[in-house]
Amino acid sequence: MNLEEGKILCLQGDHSQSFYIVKKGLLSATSKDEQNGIQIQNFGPGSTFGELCLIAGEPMEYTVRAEQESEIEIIPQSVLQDTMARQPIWLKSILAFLAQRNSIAQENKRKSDLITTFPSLLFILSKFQNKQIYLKEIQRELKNFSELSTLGIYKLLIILQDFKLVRLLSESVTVENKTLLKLLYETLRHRAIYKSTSPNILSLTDQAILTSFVKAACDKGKLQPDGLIAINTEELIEQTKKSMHGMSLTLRSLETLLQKRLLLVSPQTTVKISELPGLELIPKISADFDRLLNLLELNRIYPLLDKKLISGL
Amino acid sequence: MVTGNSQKRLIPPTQLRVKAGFVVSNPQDEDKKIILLNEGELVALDPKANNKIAFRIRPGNLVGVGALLEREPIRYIFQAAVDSTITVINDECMESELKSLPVWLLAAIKAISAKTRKINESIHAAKTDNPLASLASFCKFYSPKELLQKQMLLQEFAWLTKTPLPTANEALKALIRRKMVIPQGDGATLTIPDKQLLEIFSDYLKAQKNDTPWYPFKLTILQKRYLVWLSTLEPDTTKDGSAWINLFKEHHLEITVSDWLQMQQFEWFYEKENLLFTLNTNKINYYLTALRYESNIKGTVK
Repeated sequence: MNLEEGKILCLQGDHSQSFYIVKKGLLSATSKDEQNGIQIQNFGPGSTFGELCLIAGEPMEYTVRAEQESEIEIIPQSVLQDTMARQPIWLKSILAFLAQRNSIAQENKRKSDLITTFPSLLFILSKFQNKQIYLKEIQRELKNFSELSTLGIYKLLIILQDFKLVRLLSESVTVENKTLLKLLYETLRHRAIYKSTSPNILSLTDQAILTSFVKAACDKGKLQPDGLIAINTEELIEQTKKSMHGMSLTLRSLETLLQKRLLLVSPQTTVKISELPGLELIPKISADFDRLLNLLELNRIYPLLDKKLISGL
Repeated sequence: MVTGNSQKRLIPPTQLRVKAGFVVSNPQDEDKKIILLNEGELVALDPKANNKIAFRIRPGNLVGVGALLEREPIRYIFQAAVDSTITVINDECMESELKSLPVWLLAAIKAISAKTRKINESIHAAKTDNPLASLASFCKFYSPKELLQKQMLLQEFAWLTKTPLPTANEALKALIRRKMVIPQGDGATLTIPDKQLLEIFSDYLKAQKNDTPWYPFKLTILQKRYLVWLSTLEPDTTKDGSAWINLFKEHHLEITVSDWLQMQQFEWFYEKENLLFTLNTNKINYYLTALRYESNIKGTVK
């Protein structure tokens, strides 16, 4: 068929089920992708497009317009069916396989773009001085690290909002917990660079002990001159017993937390952990309360993150 | 209409009955082939995981398409789990079949394959096509007071952008050469003297790449005089357009309405409220810094 300059051949999303071969002229194709924004390409003589429309029945990827008077050969679905009727049956399976492989690749790319952009978004959000950041500003900065579209960025921000790390407004984002954003970023960075779990990720026992500390501190904690919250060791032992089905807290079970200085023996001592007397002889245990809360929250959301990034989008 | 040439000789695929345990395809096989399972069941064994079963193949499914058509490496060993019937399509058979196809169908198949390959490659590709601009933007987020570990900085940037480490290192050298990043001691640590300069440099590179005008280096002598004079004013000076023009004239700076509009395009002013304009000191500083460090930005610094 001949197409006059300026005429539209097909619209993005059309179910034309046809394949197009440009014989003469020049066509421009515009695609508005939710993830990659607007993309433009040209088709000159010898170019083809619409292969997935014909073979997989997918909607047209582009809106195609003639930039010059053009001649196009259109292969409709009926011609494909006639041709395939004369071919061995296995060829049909191969075509279906190729189409499916393409669709899987597209899906993988979509997920990969979101997953790999996520740390960059955390990096940017945690580095901004202001609590409120315009979406345009985020998008502008993120462009230096990724080509994810505004919608893609929006999807990632929704995940952060679900974790109560940010709050989305119509044109901006309010960072609700910058410390936790930084912790999450550092945890992902550690995993990627050192190929090991970050020290911020705690064992279930350590999480349970810290949760017990938080509970006991809420009821009976006392603010220390150094800004830490201290509780009597007996209270921690008691709370741990209640929360952990009768588990007896020992110095040994506190060892990792003391080594990481998440919990501190109070009054502070220079004696090595291994040389400390029994737990009962330590009067108080103290900790940076906000740090513990953030760390516990990090440990709650961290296992959910990969799943959320892969399936929640 | 373009049709296929049915006169060409077709090499038929081979039908085979295989016993349970028979290996139908192996990563080491030199002859690549597509296997269509007609009856029975195949299992994919992963040699990298002690031949553990990775997945099962049911009748009607194919294996080896990527290997035959795209020359992709085969990862799994395919073995018959039960007595099975398979169709083997080898190179010659596939070639003879493809030769018999109409040109348009061949073009469509090639286009799908190329598209899939391109998508798969893009998953692993660097996420920035301008590593220097990207690294400059990355570094600007660090405080001038911070002592940065060079290796860690590079690794972090490489992780975020999937830029290969040698490329990231070259970009860092370019920033060091421009004195935008300063090595400390034996060079294992770095400092960022001026965050804004990195931002300016990144913007400059992007404008160069997109072939868009970058105003700081396009200012006339008169515009530079305006800029220097504006930088001496109180930051919250607010006036309407004609009052601003008069103020310029009072300070012996010739100005036309067109010059005034041009300054708005430079974003040296922002509209505070209805027709009242305030100095955009951030932008004025941006332009001044760009001019001050022109040789660093253009890479001609000695």
